[in-house]
Amino acid sequence: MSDATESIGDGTKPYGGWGPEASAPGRRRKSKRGRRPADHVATISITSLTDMVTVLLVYLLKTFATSPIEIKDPSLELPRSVCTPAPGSGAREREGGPPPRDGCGEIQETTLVMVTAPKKGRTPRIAVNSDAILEMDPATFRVPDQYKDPNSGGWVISPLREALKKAREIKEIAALRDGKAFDGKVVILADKDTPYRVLSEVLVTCGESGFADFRFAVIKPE
Amino acid sequence: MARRKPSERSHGAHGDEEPLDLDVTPFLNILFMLILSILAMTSWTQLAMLNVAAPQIGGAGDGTGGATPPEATSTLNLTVFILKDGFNVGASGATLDGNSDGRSGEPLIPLIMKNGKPEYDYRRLQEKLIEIKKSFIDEESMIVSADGAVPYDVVIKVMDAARRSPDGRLLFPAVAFAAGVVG
Repeated sequence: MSDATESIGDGTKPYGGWGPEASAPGRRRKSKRGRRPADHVATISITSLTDMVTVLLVYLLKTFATSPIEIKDPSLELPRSVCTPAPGSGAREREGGPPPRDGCGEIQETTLVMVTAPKKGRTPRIAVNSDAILEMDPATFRVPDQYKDPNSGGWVISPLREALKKAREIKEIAALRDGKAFDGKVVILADKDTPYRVLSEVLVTCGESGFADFRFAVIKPE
Repeated sequence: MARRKPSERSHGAHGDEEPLDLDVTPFLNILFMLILSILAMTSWTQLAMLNVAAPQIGGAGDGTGGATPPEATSTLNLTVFILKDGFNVGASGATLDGNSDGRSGEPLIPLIMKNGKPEYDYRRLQEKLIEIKKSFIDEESMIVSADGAVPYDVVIKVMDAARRSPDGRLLFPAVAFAAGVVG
């Protein structure tokens, strides 16, 4: 019973590698009769996988959609709306047609004003074309008085006006190059919890800076 | 050379009977990369835009503002006031509030309880607007004025309620914002 010291009690021995039987001469002889293990290369058929991946690719290409405006800020949650724009209304408007009668249009690439919320520990900000312009008070979610133009009765946000004036100059040059008039379009991307007071100040400031054609960006129904 | 048995043929390692195995692994790699890039590039939230007219504010400014001044064609001046405790509807000087229904000090359309939470009653607001639309068929503009603390989401939902009736007819889709806040 010399083995008893190695046993763990249930008759099994500790693992000691493949043991002598794997390389036993009898086994080797047996393998010589068939093919040798070194010749056997296991191949997995990946044809079905390729089929599946191709089908997936076609499906993804079909559902592929891009948006001229991408929102990557987690502290900006747009409101949902029942607005479903008529197909092609955005293209008609770009070509100089009238805006859709129900006020519900396709998203366009133009000047953006972003208002983020005090969510996930972030300071609420106002940004123009994704450049942060000013920070708001995270506790009250209001624009601090120091940023407001006192001559406007507290309605015009001075840094935002300066930023929008610069954006307007660029847009005017671009419009001149294309032989069009400056259209004054601005898309407001505001978090759904933005207080009306802040929204109102942003709208008034946009109007003051020459951007009087406001659009609110919303999430379309699925 | 003698022909092999079919069972042996597929495993043949030499000779002109070796099966032609196309190596699809690089192709599969490219497909995976394509799938990943498409997944990353697709925008999952589809956005739309709501057109609004400028708030009218007099006095301040350097005169550069107002690229397209809002048209003053409306005679009704329909105004929806969004208060903290409900909606009021006003038109050309007169405002409908709780007093017109015999509920003094309350808004025309108070908040309702939904799932234990007070919520704005957009359905009743829409019914009221449909009623007004019947008398003013050609009218399409509406002014929204709100309390300073009212969230943006409520404003959007009011615009949704005012855009179309449930049967798809246009109500008051041309929304403008009044300068200042109420309350």
